[in-house]
Amino acid sequence: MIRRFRSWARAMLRRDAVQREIDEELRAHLEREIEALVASGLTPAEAHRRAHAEFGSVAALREECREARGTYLFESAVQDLRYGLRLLRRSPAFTLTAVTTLALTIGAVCTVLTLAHTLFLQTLPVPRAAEVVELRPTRDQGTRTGFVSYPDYVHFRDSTRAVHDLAAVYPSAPLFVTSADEARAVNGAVVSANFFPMLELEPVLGRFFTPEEDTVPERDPVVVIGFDFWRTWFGQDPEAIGASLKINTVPFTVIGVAPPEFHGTGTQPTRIYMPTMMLPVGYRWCSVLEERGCTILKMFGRLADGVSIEAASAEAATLIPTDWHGAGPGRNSGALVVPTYGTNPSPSDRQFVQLLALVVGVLFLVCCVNLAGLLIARAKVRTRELALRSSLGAPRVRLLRQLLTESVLLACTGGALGVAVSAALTRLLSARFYSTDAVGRPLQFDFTLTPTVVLATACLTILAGVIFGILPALGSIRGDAAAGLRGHNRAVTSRGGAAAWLLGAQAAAAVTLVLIAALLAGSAASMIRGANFDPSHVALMRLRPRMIEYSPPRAQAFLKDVTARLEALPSVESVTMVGTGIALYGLGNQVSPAGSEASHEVGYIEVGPRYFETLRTPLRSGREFTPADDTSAPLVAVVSEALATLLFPGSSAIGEAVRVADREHRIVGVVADVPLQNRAEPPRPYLYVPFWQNPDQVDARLQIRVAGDPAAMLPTLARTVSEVDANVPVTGLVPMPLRIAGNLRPLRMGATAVGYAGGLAVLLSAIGLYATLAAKVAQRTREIGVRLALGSTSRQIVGLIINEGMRVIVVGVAAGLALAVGCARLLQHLLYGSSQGDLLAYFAASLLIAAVGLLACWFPARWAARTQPMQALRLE
Amino acid sequence: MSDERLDLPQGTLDLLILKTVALRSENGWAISKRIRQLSADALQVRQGSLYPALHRLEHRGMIKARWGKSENNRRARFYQITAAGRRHLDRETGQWQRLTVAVAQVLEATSS
Repeated sequence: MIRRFRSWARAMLRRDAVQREIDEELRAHLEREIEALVASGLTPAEAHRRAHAEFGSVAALREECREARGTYLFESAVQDLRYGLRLLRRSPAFTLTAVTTLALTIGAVCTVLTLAHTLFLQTLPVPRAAEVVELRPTRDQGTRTGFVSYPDYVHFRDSTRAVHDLAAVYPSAPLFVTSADEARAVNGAVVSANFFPMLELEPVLGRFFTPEEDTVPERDPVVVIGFDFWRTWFGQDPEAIGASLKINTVPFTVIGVAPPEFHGTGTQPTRIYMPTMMLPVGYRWCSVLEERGCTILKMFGRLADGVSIEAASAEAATLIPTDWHGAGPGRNSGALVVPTYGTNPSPSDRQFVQLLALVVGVLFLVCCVNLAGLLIARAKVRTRELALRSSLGAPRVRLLRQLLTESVLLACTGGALGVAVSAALTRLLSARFYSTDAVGRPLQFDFTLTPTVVLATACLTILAGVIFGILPALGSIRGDAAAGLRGHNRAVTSRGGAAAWLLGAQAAAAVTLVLIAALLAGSAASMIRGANFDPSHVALMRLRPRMIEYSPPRAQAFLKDVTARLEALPSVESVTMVGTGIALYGLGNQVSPAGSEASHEVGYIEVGPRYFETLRTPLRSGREFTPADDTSAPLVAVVSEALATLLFPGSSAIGEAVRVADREHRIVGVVADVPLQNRAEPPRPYLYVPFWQNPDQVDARLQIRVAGDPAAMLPTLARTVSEVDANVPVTGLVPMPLRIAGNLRPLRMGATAVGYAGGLAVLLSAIGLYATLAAKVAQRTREIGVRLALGSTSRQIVGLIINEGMRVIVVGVAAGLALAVGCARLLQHLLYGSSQGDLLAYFAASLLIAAVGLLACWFPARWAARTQPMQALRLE
Repeated sequence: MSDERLDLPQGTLDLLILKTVALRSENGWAISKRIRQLSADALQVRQGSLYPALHRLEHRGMIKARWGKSENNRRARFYQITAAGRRHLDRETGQWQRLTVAVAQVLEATSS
C-alpha cells in the first residue's frame, strides 16, 4: 500500500521525469532490437521497420504505461484542461462568442433562479425559520386570503394545540412620526407581545414588549424600532432607548431596537413596532380590538414538535369561530396553516416568474444546441487533429473525455461570468422593480445570491457543457481516423434540413421577442410621456389630516393655506388637487343627462382649480374650475370630449346639466380625452366636478407643476407643508412620471425580461446561422474549389453562401412577423397608446434580425471566397 | 511462423514476467527474448505490450526497477522480483497448475 502510494506520488511529483524514463526505456528496447536484427543480417532500414512493427505504437504504449502507474486519471485531466485552455486561447473569436452566449444565458437562468428563490423559497431571518407558519383565514371557499379581528385572534391563540405562541400582526400601519425638527411617514407593524419571543429574536438594544404592556387598550405607548429607523432617525445613538416619538400625534417611548436583518413579515419593511393594545393609533377605520367584523390582523406561530403543516391545517379548520360558518362572500369562512416561505407573491408575479422560467429554459436549450452546432463547425479543423491523435494511439475514451473537458471548461467559464451577469441583472431588477412600490414606499426584497442558487446554477452549467459537448464529441470520434485525415466529416454532413428548420424557428422567435419587447416598452414609454396630459415637471403629494382626526373645516383651512404657500414658491408654476381616487384615473360613478333616466358608467374625479392647466390637458371649450367654484356657488362640472359626445351628440355640452349622485351639475367646460385605456378598450368618458364643492373634504392629493426637476423640489415641498402644520402626515411624495411608471410595473418588467430574451435570441440565432454556414462551407470546400477553378469570382461565391443563409433568415423573419402580429393582438390589453408607431417597430425589428443574420453569413462566406482552388481539390 | 505461436490468455503475461525476473534481474528487451526462448518460440508476446505490464507490476509492488548497464553496455532499466512478487508467483503458479490439470482431465474425458 505504502509502496503503491510512493510510486503514485513519485509519478505525480515527478511527472516529467517519469515520462522521460518511460520514453528512454521504450527507445532503448527498440534500439537494442534493431541492433539484434541488423546483426542477424537485415539492412538497417528493414531492421527499423521490423522492430517498430513488432513493437507497436510507441505513443499508445507510453500512454498505457502511465495509465498502469495510476496517475493517469488525474494527470490526464490536468493535461486535458491545459490543452483545452490552450485551444480556447488559440481561437479567441470562437471562445469569446461561446463564452458571451453562455454568460448571457446562464446569467438569465441564474437570475430567474434567484427571483424564484426570493419570491417562493426564502425564509424569515429567524432561528429555525422552517417552523414558523402562518395561520391564515380564507374567504370565498378558500379562494381568497382573509384577515382576522382581535377577538378572533384570541380565539385561535387560546384553542390551537398544533401551533404554539400564536402572534397577531398588522403589518402595514401607516405611521406618521414627528419630532421638533423632522416628520416622516413610515410603515409600522402592530404586533402582539409574544411576536418577538415567538420568532426567537434578540433586541440589538433595550428590550421587546412585556405581556403586561399588551393587556390594557391604549395604556402603554411603547414602541420597538427597526434597525434601519434607529440608524436614520437616531444615528444609531444608544440614547434612543427612552426617547420619545410622536406617532400620529400620540407620544410613544422607544424601548428597544430590532436586529438589523429583520424587516418584519412582509415585503414592506417595518420601521416601527407597537403592541396590539395600541392598534387604534395605527388604524382609525374601525375598532379592531372589539369588533369581530373589523378584520386586519395576520397570525403567525411556531409548529408544535412533531406536528406537520397538514395536521396543523386540519386542526385550524376545526377551530374556526362559530359565526364564520356559512359566512357570505368576502367574509372569513375557513382557516389553514401555510409555511412562511417566500414573499407571498401575487398571482401575477407568480405567472411572471413561471413565464420567465419557460422562456429562459427554452433559451437554455437553444443555447446548448447552437453551441453544439458551433463546436461541430469547428470540428472542420478538429477532425483532422483528432484523427491524427487517434492514429497515434490515443484511446477513444481519452479523446471523448478531452472534448468533454473542453466543452465543460467553456461552460464553466461562461457559467462563472453568468453568475456575475446575474448579479448585475438582479441589481437592475431590484432597483427598477423591487425597491419601491407604486406609490414610492420602500420594499424589502433580498436578492442576494444564496448557496442553493449558485449550486443549482453550477449544476446547470456543467449539464450545459455536457449537452453541447457530447454531440460534437461523439460525432468527431465516430468518424474513422482514415476518413478524418482525408477531410471527410460525418458529423458535419449529418446536419441538414433539421438545422435549417431550427434556424428558421430561431429567427422567427427572435423577431417575435424583439417586437413584443419593443411594443411593451413603447407602450410604457408612451404612457409615461403622456397624451393630452404631461406628467413631466409635476410632483405628487398626499396630505392625510384624517390620520390625525382633523375635522373637515380644520383640514380644509389647512389645505387652502398649504396651496397658497406652495403657489407662492418661486419655482412652482401651479398647484391643484384631487379628492377622490388618484390623479388622472379617479373612481367610477353613474352619470345621466338631466331629465333622462339613462345612466352611464364614467370616470369621476373631484379636481381643484387649475387642474387641467397643471396637467396640460387641452380645454376644448368653456372654462376650467376656479376657486370661486365652492360650496356657496352653483354646482358645476367639466366633461371629457367622449362624455360630451356620449350625452349630447351633435350639440355643444356647455350649459347642459348632468345628474350625478342625485345632484345636478351645470357643464361649464369640455376637455380633451386623456387616453388611459389599453388598446382593447374604448376611451373612457370622464366627468370632473370641483374639489371645493364637496363640504366633506379632509384628505387631498396634490399635483404641483414646478419649473425644474420635480424630484429636486420634493424636500422643499415637504418643508413648506410642515411649516403650515408639522403634525399632518405627508405621504406619496414622488414625481408623477415615477408614479405612473410604478403603476406600469408589470408592463415594464415584461418589456425588460422579453427584451433581454429577445436580445439573447438574436445573438443565439446569429451563432446558429454562423455555425451551420461555416460547417456547410467546410463540407463544400471541394465544390467551391471547382467553382472557383471554373471561373466563378469570389464575389459570386460570397453571394452563394450569403444567399443560402439569408434564405433561412428571410423565411424566419416573415414567419416571426406573422407570429408577432398574432401575439400583439393577444397582448392588446397590455398595450397602450396608438398603434401608429408599431409599423416602424416591425420594420426596425426585421431590419435588425436581417442585419445580424447578414453579419453571421459574412464570415463563412469570406472563408469560402478565400478558398484556394488547388488546395481544395487536393484534399480528396 | 507467427501463425503457429499461441496467443496469451488474459493475465498470464504477468505470470510469465514474474517467473522470468524471479530467475534473475533482467531488462525489458531481455525479458521478451527470454520468454520466447523459454517457451521454445511458441508464445507470442508482442514486444511493446510487455512494458505496460512491467509498469503495472512495479506499481503494484511485485517487482522493482533500477537503472543499470545492459550486456552491450547501454543504460537500461533492470527489473527484479520482490518478496511480494515471489509470494504472488507461488500462489498463481499453484493455481495455474491446478487449472491446467483440471482442464486437461475434462478435455481427455470428453474426447475418449
